[in-house]
Amino acid sequence: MTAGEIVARTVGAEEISESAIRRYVEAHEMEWPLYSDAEAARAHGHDTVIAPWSMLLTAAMPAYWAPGQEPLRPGALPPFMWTKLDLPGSEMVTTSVDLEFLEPLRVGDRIETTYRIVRTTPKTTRVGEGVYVDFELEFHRQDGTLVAVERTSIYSYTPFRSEP
Amino acid sequence: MNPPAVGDAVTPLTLHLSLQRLIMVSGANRDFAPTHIDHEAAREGGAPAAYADIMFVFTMVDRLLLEWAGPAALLRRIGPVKLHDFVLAGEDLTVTGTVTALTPAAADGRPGTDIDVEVAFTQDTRHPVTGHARVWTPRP
Repeated sequence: MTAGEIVARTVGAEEISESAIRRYVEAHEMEWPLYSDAEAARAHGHDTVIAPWSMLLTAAMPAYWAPGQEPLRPGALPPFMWTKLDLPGSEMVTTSVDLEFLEPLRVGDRIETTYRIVRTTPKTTRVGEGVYVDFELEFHRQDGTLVAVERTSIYSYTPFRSEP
Repeated sequence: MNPPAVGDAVTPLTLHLSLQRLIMVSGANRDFAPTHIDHEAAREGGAPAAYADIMFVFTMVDRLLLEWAGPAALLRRIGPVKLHDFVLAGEDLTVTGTVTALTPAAADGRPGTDIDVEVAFTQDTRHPVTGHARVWTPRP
């Protein structure tokens, strides 16, 4: 685990589709017209509706399961990379998240994510002994354009044992 | 939208966060972690009830800023967002924002303004989420 090193790379399970956008808008009752009204989106320079900016992580999420893989275990978590990075400690909490959007998400975009460790800071806290890890994630669409950057800090730690 | 000033309140969002809503959200955002859709799983992890995920939090900030700023706006940033406590199913949720800074900025070659907003999520007397966000609007 070295600062600056790319530690993981993932690709979203599917291209962004109008149906996925519609379901997202429905579930969150989003009224902003460019997410649901193609005319309004065209009036603001887009080919058709755009995806909600906040749909980025959904678009970037790999599949939970694909043919040929082991059956999904009950209680499976979203297939983001945080739990697969071999960080020190048994527990992990996210302490801060920051998303910067550079380009709108369009129908047909497929999002690739690279995970880079920016900084690690060992620290003992009241919950345990561990390390703060600052990540920077870059999200690119398939033509190579950088569409968003995420800066996330997590604390990965081993909890103190309670006294017997 | 009239040109905003520092200190202005953004039009707040209010909704009742039902478990049904969280299940709809999970189908749409593909976060099927049991703690977001199953009270029992959430309680096993120490929460009082099923609770919203971070993507739902981002999406409420998206709604808050863009529904206020109008169709010509661009969402530039959500964050840093701090999670202090659970955004719980079964409770009403209010999301509020206050303008903290206005900065001239161009986007796509057009002059405009970056509007920084301080955001807070409130459920009863709790503030489970606080943070910042930025939306750009073209010069009128």
